Amino acid sequence: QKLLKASAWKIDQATDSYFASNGAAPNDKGKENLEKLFGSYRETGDEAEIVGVNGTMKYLTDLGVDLENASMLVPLEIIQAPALGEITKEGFVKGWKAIRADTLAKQKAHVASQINQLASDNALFKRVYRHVFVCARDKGQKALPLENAITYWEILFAPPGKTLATSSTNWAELWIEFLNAKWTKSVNKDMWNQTLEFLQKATEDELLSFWSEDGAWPGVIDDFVGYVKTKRGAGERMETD
Amino acid sequence: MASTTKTVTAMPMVPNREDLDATWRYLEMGVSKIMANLQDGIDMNTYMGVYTAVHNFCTSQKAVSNAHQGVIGGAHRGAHLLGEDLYQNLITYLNNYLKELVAESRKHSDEALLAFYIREWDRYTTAAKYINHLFRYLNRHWVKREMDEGKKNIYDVYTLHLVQWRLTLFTEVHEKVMDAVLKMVEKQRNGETIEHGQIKAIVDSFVSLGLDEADPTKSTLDVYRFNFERPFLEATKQFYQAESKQFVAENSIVEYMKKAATRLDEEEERVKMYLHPDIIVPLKKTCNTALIADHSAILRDEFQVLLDNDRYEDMERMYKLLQRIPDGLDPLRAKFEAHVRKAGLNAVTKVAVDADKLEPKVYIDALLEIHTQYQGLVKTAFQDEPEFTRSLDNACREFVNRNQVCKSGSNKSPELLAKYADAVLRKGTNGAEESDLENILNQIMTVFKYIEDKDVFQKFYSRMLARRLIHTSSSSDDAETSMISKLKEQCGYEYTNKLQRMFQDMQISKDLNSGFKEFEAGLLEPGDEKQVDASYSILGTGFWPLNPPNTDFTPPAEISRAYERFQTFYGQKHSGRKLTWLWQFCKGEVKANYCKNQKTPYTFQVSTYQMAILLLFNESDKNSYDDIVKATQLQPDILDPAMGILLKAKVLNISPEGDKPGPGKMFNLNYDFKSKKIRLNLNIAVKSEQKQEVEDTHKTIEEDRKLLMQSAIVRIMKARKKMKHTQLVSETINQIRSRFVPKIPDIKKCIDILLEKEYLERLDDDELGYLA
Repeated sequence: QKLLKASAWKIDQATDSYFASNGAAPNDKGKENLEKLFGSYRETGDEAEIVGVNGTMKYLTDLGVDLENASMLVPLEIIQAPALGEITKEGFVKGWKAIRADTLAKQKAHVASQINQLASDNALFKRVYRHVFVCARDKGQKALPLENAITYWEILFAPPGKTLATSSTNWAELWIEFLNAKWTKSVNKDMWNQTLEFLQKATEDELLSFWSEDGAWPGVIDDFVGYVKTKRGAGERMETD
Repeated sequence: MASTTKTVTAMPMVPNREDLDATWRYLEMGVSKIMANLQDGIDMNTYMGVYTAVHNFCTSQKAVSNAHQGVIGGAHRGAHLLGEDLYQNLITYLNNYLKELVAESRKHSDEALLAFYIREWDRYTTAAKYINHLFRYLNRHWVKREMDEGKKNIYDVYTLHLVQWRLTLFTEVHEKVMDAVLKMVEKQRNGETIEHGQIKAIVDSFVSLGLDEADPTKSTLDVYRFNFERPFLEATKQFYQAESKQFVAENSIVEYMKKAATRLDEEEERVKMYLHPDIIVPLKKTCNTALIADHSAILRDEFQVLLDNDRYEDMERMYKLLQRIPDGLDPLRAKFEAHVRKAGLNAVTKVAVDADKLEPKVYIDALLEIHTQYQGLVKTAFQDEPEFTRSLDNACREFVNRNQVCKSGSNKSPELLAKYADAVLRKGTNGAEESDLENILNQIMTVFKYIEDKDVFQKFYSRMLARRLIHTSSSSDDAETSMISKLKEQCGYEYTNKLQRMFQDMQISKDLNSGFKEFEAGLLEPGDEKQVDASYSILGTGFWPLNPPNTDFTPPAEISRAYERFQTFYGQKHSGRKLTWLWQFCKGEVKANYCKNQKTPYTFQVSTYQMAILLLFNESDKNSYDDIVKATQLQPDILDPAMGILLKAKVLNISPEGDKPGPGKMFNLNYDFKSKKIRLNLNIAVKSEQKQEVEDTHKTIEEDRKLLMQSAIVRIMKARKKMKHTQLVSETINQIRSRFVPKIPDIKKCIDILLEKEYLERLDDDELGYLA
């Protein structure tokens, strides 16, 4: 239930695939194909219905995504990977079936086009961004260690991800700078999600006029605004000097 | 009487009913007589004659009517037409009569004119009444019919008189009359005596002339308002504007206020004396504007001076003046509030030279003094007006919660107040009388009312109450209960629940102790050594703000035996209950039989820890620090201060001499101990401990506040399911305000925590949702 909101799109996909699977035979054939494809990545020792670390890496390489940047996060969202090195059969089949991509080639093409749109399509980016929190957590943990979170932010906010910068400020960089300087706690889901919201708004409105102390932003964002403002104040003083 | 006969002889016989001209001439003569010589009276014949003539005129003349106007209708129509002739004739007559009067009036002016007007008016109206009677036939038939048919400008004969007066005479003379009236009033305002009956008569006359056009039987005040009230108010305004301007220029504000107040009273008196009551409201308004509102700026400026000099009477004057004008008092209230706040802050600054060593009593007295002073002012000068009381409350709340002393944190005030309450309620510190005590408690409640962080007070108060109860150092149970019920009245059951439970526990413990005494006596075998005489308090864990000791402790054997017996006893009564011994709050007395030079033994009042230490010296005169640690199991941070006091009092000596307690040191019993007192209290709280306790208390307050805010948020969200962030914040503040005023960032932190714990979820549009 807690993830319902974060993954609202998943319901849509789930229902889509539900109707699809009740439909004609070709879909069943698609399912068959997908299950086969899924099985081909399984290794001995993997748990039932799951592809483990090695299989996942191989699969991602086969899809042609770069494991060093944000592009690898796109397919992981599509198949709702529960962790970085793990794919479930359910997520795999449902995810691809909804897109009707039952061969590796089709999947590769779809992923490539999604990666191209990643920086420009806000909804897509948000989906991928939010899923990162889900699969980046250690099993059973509710929050992300700060260090890991910063690594992912660096990946997400660099091409082919979205660079959140305006002419004067690189917001993503500033955010990370602030966290390194002032923040010691881990990153919970709310903070993770609100970070994207805030940074996106900040890129649209550099003066942060959308922000108010009484607003609903989490405390860490308020602190960040304070940090930005003192920094700007100092900058301005230096300029006038 | 001679004239009477003349009148009688002067009246001819009623003329032939067919001869209209003659009849009118006859009537005119009668009417003139009444107008001119009514004071002479009318004899029956004339009266009857005129009456008959009117009747004749109206009824008889079909022929004449026909001859003049052709056949129109029956007898009934005839009366109608002829009535009109009579009516018109009467109007012409009145016009002429009144024109003469107008001409006559020009000979008079001022008071003489007033006299003339009143005289003629009286004569005219009295006559009109008679004439109205005499023309009753006309009224009853022709006038009534015309009116029934909806004709305008037809009146009964009396009203016709008034109308004609207004049209002919009034329009010509009213301005002059009014001038005369105003001159008289001005004379009176300047202190001369006038014959105010005249003005009253004028007012009455003007009022009588007001006729409702729509319904002539009713009167309106229109004529009066327009021709009397309006010029009167205008003159009043000008008079007072001029007067006040001059007066203010030449006198002090205080003198002016006195003057203005007298003037306002005079005007009210004037209305009662000779003006129409209808004028009260507009007259007051005019006076208020000219005398107060026009000068309100300088009045208000003066207010600060009056405040600074405690001029209660003058402030009362000002209050009474300014309350007459709309929004007159608001600036005063603002000034008053600022002044009280400043006075409060100054008073605090004065006593708060060294905030750390500030005596609670000095501080609270300073607060109370300001409050008492200005409450007195509100009462005497501002008639306890609720808005002023509110300003006072606002100011007090400000300086009680945010002042020099509270700079470090707003919870300093409640802490000091609680300490003051403790000092008051503790035995023997000041020996206040019972009745005084109640007064002081009420004063505490006065300050308490303004305290924003009521939770801080509660924490400190309960800690100190616990201490008073455990050490049975309350000066009076009645006072304690009274205080709790006062707190309950202010803050409700929940606030005092734990305090009351503490009382109950003490009562139950008393009964328990007497039960235990019997139990213990039953155990006693003859020849056993004497028991330790002990009493026990059983305190419910959740209700008392006390923590278990933070050190290990092995009680001395003498005490162990006693408390083991008690544990057995308690275990029998309430099986399954766990007793935790709060050694740090226990105390006892030991007798020192060892001292040289002393026949009666000294009694030492000591803490249980000190007792354990001292009892070791029963076995051996010398003990090393490490022996003591081993025997008592006390942690150094507890042991050292306890030893320190024993050393300082020279009950024990340390070697090397003058050193501090610590590992490797030796202690020996001082046989040469001397003291002036036979009873010595060695159970003294150490400064550092007190400080520690204060810090602990503050820490628990912070924790409690977080919980309080979180539970409030969860409660609200549980009821609402979904809520905007800002709404949630303000609702939370509302719910908690009676305990303390939460800061928005703190609330947000709590929301963050709840989001993380997944009690809440973030929805779109700054909304938060409740997760079951």
